[in-house]
Amino acid sequence: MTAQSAAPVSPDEQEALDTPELSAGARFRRRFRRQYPALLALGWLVLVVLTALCAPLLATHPPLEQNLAGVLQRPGQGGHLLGTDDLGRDVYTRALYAGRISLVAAAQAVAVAVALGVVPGLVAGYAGRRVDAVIMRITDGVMSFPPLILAIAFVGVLGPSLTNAMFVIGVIFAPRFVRLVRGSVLSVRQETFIEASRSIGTPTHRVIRRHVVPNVLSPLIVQISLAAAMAMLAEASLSFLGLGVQPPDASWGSMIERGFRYTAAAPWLTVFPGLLIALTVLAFNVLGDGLRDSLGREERRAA
Amino acid sequence: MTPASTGAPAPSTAGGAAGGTDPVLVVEDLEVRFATDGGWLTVLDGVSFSVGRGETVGIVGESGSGKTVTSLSVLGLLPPHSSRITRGSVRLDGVELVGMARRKLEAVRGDDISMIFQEPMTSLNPAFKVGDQIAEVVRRHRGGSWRSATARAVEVLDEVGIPDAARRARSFPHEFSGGMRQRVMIAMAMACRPKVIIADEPTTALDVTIQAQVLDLMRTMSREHGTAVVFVTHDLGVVADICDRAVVMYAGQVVEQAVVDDLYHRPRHPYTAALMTAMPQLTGRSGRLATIPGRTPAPGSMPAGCRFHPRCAHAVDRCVDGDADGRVEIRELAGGRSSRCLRVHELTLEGTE
Amino acid sequence: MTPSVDRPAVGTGKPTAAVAEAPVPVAEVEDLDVEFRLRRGPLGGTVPLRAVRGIDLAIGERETLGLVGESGSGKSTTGRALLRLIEPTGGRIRLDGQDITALRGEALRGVRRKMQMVFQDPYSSLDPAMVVAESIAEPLDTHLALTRAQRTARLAELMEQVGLSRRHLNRYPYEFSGGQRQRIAIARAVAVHPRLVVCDEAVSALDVSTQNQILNLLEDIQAGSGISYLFIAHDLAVVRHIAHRVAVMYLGEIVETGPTDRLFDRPAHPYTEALLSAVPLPSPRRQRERERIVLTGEVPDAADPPPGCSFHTRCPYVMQRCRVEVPAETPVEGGGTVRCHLRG
Repeated sequence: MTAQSAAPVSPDEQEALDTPELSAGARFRRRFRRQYPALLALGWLVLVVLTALCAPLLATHPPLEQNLAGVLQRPGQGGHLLGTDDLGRDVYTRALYAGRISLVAAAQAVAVAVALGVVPGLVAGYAGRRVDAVIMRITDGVMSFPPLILAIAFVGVLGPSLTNAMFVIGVIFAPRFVRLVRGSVLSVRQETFIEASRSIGTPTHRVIRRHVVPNVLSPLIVQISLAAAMAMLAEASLSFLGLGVQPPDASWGSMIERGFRYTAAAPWLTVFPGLLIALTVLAFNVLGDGLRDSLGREERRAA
Repeated sequence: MTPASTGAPAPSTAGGAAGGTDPVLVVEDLEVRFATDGGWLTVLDGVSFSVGRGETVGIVGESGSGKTVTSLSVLGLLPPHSSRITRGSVRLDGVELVGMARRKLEAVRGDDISMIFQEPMTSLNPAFKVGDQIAEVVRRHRGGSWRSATARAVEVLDEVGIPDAARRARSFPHEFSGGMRQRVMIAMAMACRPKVIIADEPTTALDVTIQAQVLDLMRTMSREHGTAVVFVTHDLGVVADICDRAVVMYAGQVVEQAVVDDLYHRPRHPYTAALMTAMPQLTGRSGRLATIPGRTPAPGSMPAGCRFHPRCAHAVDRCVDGDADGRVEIRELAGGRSSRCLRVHELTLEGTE
Repeated sequence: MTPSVDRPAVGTGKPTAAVAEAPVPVAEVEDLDVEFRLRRGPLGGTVPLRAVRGIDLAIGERETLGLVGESGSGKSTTGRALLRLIEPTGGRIRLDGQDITALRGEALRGVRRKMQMVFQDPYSSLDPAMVVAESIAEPLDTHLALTRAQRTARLAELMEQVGLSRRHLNRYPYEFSGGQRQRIAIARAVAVHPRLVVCDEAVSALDVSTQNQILNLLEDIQAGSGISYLFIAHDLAVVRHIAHRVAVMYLGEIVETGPTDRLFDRPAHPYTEALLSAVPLPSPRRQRERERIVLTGEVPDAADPPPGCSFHTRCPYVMQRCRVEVPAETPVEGGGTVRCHLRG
């Protein structure tokens, strides 16, 4: 009981200035380089993005080319690296193109969420109690809906399309950003340097731009990475339910949905896209954690 | 032994002057290293001191001197993965604490030795009533029923001067003022009648009038129960007020050790003297304030020879060379004091008296 | 209000015992009142807390006024209200003779140039995301239209003035020690040549030797520019060194003011006396031999201050009269004023 809070002991007076000058970016890179899992995750994401971009070059078949003579071929059979689906389409090629759609969809949802979430979050955190209360009640309202049900309802009204689905996902994710930004702003606002800046006579908009926003940026970047993972899962779920991408286009989620009917006969139809989703979602999460650890603000003294 | 006890609280075996005769806590040649980006750095370098039964010993130094690391390593409270004790021993009543199994150490902590921190709010659990927290400590170490442990908690709260202790025992930490919380901490530390209390800057966060009360309380508690106190502080005034003996630390080493009257009368290490000269005086303004040039060296970039020589007004060439192995060893002096200064026999330094 | 006898002594770098006739003070507060609303109770009701209760202060040119008191005495609130960082609920604030109590917006930002602040915690008063140059340049950019070259030159000049090197302008705060950060904070505070700097526990977080370097720096700046300081501190020895005059606060009121030497050598208020006596002297012999007044009890709840003299609950000399009647401000021989029935 008496034995808690062994305060981190760091000698205050260090010859700190002997170290070479490092910009914020250089400091971040130096620390990020030690985050091996995050580096691996980043590597995977880069690979996924590159293959999606270069899909036409890497594809072995046209993505929509059907071959009803060779349906459900096993991986490796008949020149199909990952086999073929129920319409005889090359799974490898389709996975490449589907990656494009999955990534764009995730990016779209995150962009909507950030666009809708950041400004209200800043306002809620910095403006007075009343504005904060209004914004937070709306946020709570949005958050209290079960996300998938809400998405299904929206898509039902707007018509099934990937863009609609992802817009809805973005709206659903926006409250997370509002809360995150508001929380960070509230804690930054407590810092003496904000009062110091006010005491100097700095106008409010400048205080927000120069002191608040830069200090909120790091948690925001981390959250973006985590939200991308969730968006990708949400896309897969909606597409699995047939509410997202529409045939003949495919995302990884819709590939699973199609392959699901043949799980016993052709497990590769679900395993490969499933693996891709799992790895990519995992990569976004690991990257988020890595960023969190390396973007930490230089407080007190970095021991 | 005096025969026929009268039933009055027996005078403890207090007064172990200089800690030499019957030390309850002996720290010997303690070396502690911390993990940093640049590898393991030595933070404590051969720290030795002892504390007599019922004695109050001050560990004085500025930030970076290693005084807090010393107190934490005595209790085995250093962060386990980023630090290690690489040499030396800590003996509590003859029992070696360095290398003791975690379970056994936990049994000793709070029972034979306990700690008081600077900020009581972070050392008390905000979710539990203070009486329950103290009772919990009592039960863990002494066993017995909840009822008797709670009674004990009320008793110690009363001892430390909490008015209406039985009722206040049912209050939560945030319902106490800073000074009262520190009293609660002292009550908790004293609950099992430890042989030694380690107090790390226990009054630094308090106002002076409250500090005076808390110091008086610690003095009384120590005297009445024969508890030895290790008082870690940066404040030479507090040391003068409450301590019998002082250990001055600089850059991870003990540089001087003496009974307080001797220390303040004639410091035998230039660092001690410089600290005393730098203290702004309450009794009068004396021109420009003295400063110590430069600053405390960081672990890993310790100066060769005497660690204080770059900042010392009395440094000469051989201070850079040190003794035979490039270090300066501590010198035992008459009157049970010691100093880590090569020129200790040549210099006459001014104290505050 | 009793007429204020408490005029600022014109500082000459040394504390003056005599109360001199002063010209218009640099900063002046009159009957200042600050009230907060405290949330209390499970139902979220609020109770008023008068943190500052009708105080008068005046700070002369080149003068350092020490403001001492324990936590909860309202000394920090007074400093912030004087700078209009907290809205006063009553009274007047004047800066260089100009009433700034009701200024808002652009006009208020304009006068901020003349009054700056140095905060206690050098670790949180600098934005960790900004290099030192940006931090120090903030007041320059807000108040002065400098050319690029002028700005660079001023930054270098300021760094050297506070004992740092211009080479360190592109460093981040985390690379500096506590003392160095406080130097940076001081450079920022004096960048636009203010008339008054409020130092709120500016050296409390520092080690003795570093603390002295900062105090010497503050004195050098004052000698060079004629700036005035409101020096808020709980460390009485530090205040004795740096202040020309001292005001002692207790529960939101000023109980005693006076020239530093008089106040420390012959305190007129029992609270001042007790405060001084509670500071341990760095000398075991003198500490043992001195007569000490250990106050019993704690500072009462500021939301519910005692009637009469607010110190009566802890005062060793309390009389019946003290419990009912608020003591008036009375002049003290040797300079200053006191609010105590013993001296009434």
